[in-house]
Amino acid sequence: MARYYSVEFENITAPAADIDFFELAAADDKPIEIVYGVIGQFTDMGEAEEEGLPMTITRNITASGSGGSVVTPRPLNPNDAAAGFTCEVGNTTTASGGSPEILHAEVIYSRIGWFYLPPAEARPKLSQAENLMIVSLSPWAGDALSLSGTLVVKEY
Amino acid sequence: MAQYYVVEFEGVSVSLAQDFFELTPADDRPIEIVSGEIGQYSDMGDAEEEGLRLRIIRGHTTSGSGGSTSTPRPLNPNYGAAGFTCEINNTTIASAGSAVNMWSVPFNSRIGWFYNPVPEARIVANQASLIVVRLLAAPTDALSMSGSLVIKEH
Repeated sequence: MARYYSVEFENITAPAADIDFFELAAADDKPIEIVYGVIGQFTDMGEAEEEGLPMTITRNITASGSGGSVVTPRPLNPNDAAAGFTCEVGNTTTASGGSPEILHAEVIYSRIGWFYLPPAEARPKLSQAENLMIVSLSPWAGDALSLSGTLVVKEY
Repeated sequence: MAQYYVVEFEGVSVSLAQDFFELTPADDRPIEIVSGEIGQYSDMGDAEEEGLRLRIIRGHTTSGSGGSTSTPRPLNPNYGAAGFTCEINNTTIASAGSAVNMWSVPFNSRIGWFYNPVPEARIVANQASLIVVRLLAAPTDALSMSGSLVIKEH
């Protein structure tokens, strides 16, 4: 039976360079998919500081990033078991290698944030064979920002 | 049969970090957050805009204080009274227990917070486990705020 988990980060500083907000690795025989995501920033407010943030979701990367931290997926239903997949957040050395497949790309207004709720059949999926999936700010060379965000992940 | 309720606050001056909502499930009646909205109506215009840091946390066991109680209102007037309870605007925040961070996102003060997860992505809480919607840091200056949550009780 599929289960649902949240992973989140709060008040991380993104440098004026690319950052992987989330890096997901599926467990053996337990594919995952991104159900829902939100990311926002709280330091650059007002029209003069508004900018466009390029967001991508990319799959099939082999080398994990670094510079961030590990977060434990939390079951949305407290009666559910611990997740099999793992997650890192805020990697400032971004994941690399493999045969990256960009599954989603858009540009968001920094003062509004990212609200991602694809239809169920359009959710990005990842199995262990496809290595890592990342949600990234890339390519980015704008201001440093303080951000928070959450993903809801379905695990089969 | 599951029933749906609304809890809300209106016209509250917010100058401190606080738990906008603190929900306490009843025995054998888990609850889930169906939707939520929070906004302010006092600081408008570009120069007054700020980012407000919000987090949903589950698992505290000690209730906060300093706010008030909001009686859950059934969305269908034919429903019975809710089993869960709700406090609002506690400036002494809930504490203790094995709290876990379930959701984090900042929101623009001129836009507000809109939370409407798909049904399978709702956060659930059982008895003996508070769930709070928390403003993590004080606003730059006091804001007049209102907000609502819709709660499903099993």
